[in-house]
Amino acid sequence: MVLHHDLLALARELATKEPKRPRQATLRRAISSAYYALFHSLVSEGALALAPAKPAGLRSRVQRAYAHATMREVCDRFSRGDASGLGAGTKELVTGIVASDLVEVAQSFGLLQEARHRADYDTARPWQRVDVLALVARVEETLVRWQKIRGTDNARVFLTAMLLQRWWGR
Amino acid sequence: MSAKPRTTKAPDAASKRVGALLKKHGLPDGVHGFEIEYGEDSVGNPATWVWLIVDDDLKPSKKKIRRFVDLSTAVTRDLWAAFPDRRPYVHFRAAA
Repeated sequence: MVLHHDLLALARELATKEPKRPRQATLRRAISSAYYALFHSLVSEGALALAPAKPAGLRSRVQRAYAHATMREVCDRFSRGDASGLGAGTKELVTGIVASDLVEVAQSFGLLQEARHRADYDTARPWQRVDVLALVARVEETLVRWQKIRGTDNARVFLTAMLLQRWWGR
Repeated sequence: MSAKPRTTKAPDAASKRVGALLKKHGLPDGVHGFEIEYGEDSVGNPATWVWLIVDDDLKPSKKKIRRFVDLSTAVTRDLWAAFPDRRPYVHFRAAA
């Protein structure tokens, strides 16, 4: 079984648990699971694009090298919808128009990461089921959109930038 | 990590933009209005939170959630384009 598929299924299961009175702990774990479904999907795609299948363990190690903060920075830049806001090194590699599906993937990543942070650390504001279900559905839709553009050059640049943006501007 | 407290006082431009966008798309069934908050996100970036006000529904249909996600995606996209230096976060909450 693929990890991100299982994480997304778990997110949905948690988001719909406790039909009459969903607990905050359950809803918050659902958000976390949804975020990590998107995170692991993208880092898995990144390792697939960047590293050969052998030796064993190489792709897993590349996955481990992705950092949440760098991914967020790159996604925020791609979220603007055009190449002008992209960092040094990345901008020169992006060709043509950034596809709306790729922009949406980037926007969703920022939304889910922020939601995960709040779900884990901000106890001041309670989460509601409808909001959590919308976030889970957003990730489901985002993964569908990713499938449409994953083979494009700009998608490969996006995956690589999320790993190397901090260094390849030199 | 403690974030700066948010204020409900949002720039008029953001509020007008969201209002115009919702008018353009039409509020789907179940969405009754919106509120905007202004502040910094968890990484210290200026941010706008748009809260779409909905019915308190513990068992929303997939179709209803789909409509909500479509609206959220459209509002997010538009706010990014209009205010690229302010991260938009679109959420749903039931009316008090």
